Amino acid sequence: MSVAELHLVGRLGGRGVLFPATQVRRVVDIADVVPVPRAAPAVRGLAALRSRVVTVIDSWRLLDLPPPPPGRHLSLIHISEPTRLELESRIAGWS
Amino acid sequence: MDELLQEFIAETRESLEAIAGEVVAWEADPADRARLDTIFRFVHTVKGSCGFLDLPRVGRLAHAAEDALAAARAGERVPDPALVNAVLAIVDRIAAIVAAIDAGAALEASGEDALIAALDPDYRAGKDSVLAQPTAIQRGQSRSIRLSVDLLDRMMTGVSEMVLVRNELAHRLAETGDQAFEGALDRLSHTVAELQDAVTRTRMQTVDALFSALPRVVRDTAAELGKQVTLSIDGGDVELDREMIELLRDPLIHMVRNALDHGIETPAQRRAAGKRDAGRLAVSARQSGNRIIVEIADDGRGVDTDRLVAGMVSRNPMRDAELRALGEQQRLELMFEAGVSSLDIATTTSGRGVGMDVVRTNVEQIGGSIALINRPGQGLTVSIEVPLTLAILSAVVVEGGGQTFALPRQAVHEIVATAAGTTRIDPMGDGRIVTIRDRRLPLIALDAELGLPARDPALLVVLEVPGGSYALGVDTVIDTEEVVVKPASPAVMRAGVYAGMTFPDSGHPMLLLDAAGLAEVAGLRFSRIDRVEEDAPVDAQDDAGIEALLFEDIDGRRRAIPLAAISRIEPLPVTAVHHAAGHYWLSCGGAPIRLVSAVALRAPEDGWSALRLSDELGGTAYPVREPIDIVHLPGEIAPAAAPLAGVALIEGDAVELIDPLALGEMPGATRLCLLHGAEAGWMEIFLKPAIEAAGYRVVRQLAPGEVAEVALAMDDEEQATVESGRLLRLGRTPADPLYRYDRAAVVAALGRAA
Repeated sequence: MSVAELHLVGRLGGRGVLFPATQVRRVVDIADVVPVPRAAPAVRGLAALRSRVVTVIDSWRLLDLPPPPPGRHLSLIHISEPTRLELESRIAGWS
Repeated sequence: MDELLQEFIAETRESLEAIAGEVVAWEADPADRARLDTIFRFVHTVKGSCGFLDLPRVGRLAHAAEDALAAARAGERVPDPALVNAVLAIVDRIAAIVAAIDAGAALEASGEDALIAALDPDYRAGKDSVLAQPTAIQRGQSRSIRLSVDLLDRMMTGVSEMVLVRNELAHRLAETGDQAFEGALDRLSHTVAELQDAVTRTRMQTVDALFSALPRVVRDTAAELGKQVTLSIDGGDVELDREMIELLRDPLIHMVRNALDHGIETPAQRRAAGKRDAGRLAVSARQSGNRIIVEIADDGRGVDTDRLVAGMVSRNPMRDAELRALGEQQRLELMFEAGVSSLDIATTTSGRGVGMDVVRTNVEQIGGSIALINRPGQGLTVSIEVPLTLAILSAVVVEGGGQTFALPRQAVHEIVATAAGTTRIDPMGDGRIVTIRDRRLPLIALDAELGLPARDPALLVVLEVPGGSYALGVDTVIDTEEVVVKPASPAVMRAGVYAGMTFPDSGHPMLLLDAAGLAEVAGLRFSRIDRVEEDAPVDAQDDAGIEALLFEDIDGRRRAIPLAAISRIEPLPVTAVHHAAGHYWLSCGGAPIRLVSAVALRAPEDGWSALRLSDELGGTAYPVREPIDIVHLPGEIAPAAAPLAGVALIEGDAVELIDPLALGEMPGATRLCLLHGAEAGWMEIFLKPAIEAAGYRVVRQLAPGEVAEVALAMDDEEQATVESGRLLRLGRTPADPLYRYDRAAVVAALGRAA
């Protein structure tokens, strides 16, 4: 890719990762996550983001990476989907 | 005013405003085809609406204008200024009548014949008088306005945000322990709650708004086609986003017309095919997960896919190989291709509106889908599925395994404590069966089913799902609240047990359980009960003779009962019938309904139906094996003894005709039972339902002049001398002659006392 694009740099499962900045809505810390029983293991649960409810995904599980070291805060990146279905916004959890 | 009528007025006004410019432009250039089409569409729409709103005057005017314009569009007539004038005079007149209806004023019909006559190409005289129609009617004050849904969405988001701020504020204030703002905060909370309620409601409407026009559409269409159709409507109370309702309106009416036109055969054809004369059309709505499913099912001839393919091939031979290679379902899907409907399957009725391709596009635009189930020779079921997007649901909040969940209130039949004497849990196979009173239900433990830390359930929530019921074991029931259902992400929905999620005032997202999904995941299978529901038939012919329902009675004989006596027909679930005090009772939500019959009653079998008799006849139910047909009774009926009104000759068979009045005269719940003394409140809670089921009316105080047949009192109650036929004393320990928790014994004692 010849054109420089803005990216958000983070660390996930012990390695550096890049998110295209255009897809990142905001980065927040979320304390309470309501679990979703019977859902796939990567679904960490539901979290409230102001007046909206978003699904929290453990990205390290999706990518088969080692789990984050314990005792560190969970940071979340709110990623807007490319479609107009905004309600389906996904979150990538990483440490 | 009727909601439909109001909608028509609002819509017509809006269109009138929209075409005002077109009208002027058309006047300047009568040959302008685009303007001609616009005006034509307007009068066409008005005419259609008048059909089912019963506005013959407006309908006649619109129809006349439509005919004249159709001739112009077809090139049979030149659109000259005379035509323009005459049509515009009619458009003005329609506007005046609509304004008059809205204002509730009368408008003289004189001159309308002249208006219509002026459309005639040979009409020349009196043109001036036609155009000089004064529209003196005051424009009514409109009590409704139209808002864009976007605006409502923004209001909704704003209110939700406000709720959160309110919560935070309350939380902060509680931390400081400052009481100074408590009153103001209370007022704020109250106002925000009311606002939230109002805003959420603006978007919701019951599907009834959609269904209420159907009986008329079916009646008129059936009459036009010379067919007999029985329409049954179910699930009108399902709530749906207003926008969805609007977007579903046209597709639904189109599908219904299609079913009548192409699906249901003429009475003669049906007889030849061995079917009942009157076709059946069942329109239903139900919520399934976060989708609403609207189903239009007919018992007509279904779709002849061979003919469909042949028709398409004949017009486009190039596609021959491609079309012939298609599977049955794909062939069926051809109905959705553009340009199919008007040539291969349509006739006068449905060919006029939108085609199936347009219907599918409309439905898909709102995120929905259409599925067809074709049973050649037996009917077609079209099911339209649309997302709920934003539904308000009355929910019961329960806790299981340390987590709270919402359950749709409509699925909850009752909540009972496992500690109560009326329930018993037994292991059965891999699962457990719970017996609540005399009803046996499979038990699903919420915590175990969801893989959460399990313990013995303290409460059982009896849930009703299509086809059956089960008990869901939970730890506690927290409360009921109105929640806004939001669709959950696919990753969450894939779990199969959720209908969506909600975001209650607590600030913690909550999952909404799908009662049917839980049952399925837990491996419960209910046998599907075929629904038979018939309202009075929408009859195309005005036949002499009383209409009666011919049915197969529980003793296997065919009998008939006047149709007017029946309020509806519904499936009779075996588990909903109980035997008490010498009668069989059907319990379905409210008060128990007594079963009556011309023959000896017995416990029902699977597949029976209940004819619900009208309230004037005691509101009882008559169990039958199967409703057969609606017949016209012959003039001559041979007399017979009660409860028979006589014997009639129907289709060559002697059929016993039931006298519904004689059934109603059988003893009803007129006996009085007095609950006496200090423990009357306790008795009311624990015994009243059983006593009522035994055929008594239960009171705690006798009205002047009333005499109780039986009175109940505790055995240590003093002053238990009451004016009554008999006094039953209840004991406090199982050793007493009549232990108060032994409900069966109490009911039996009541039976002996009577």
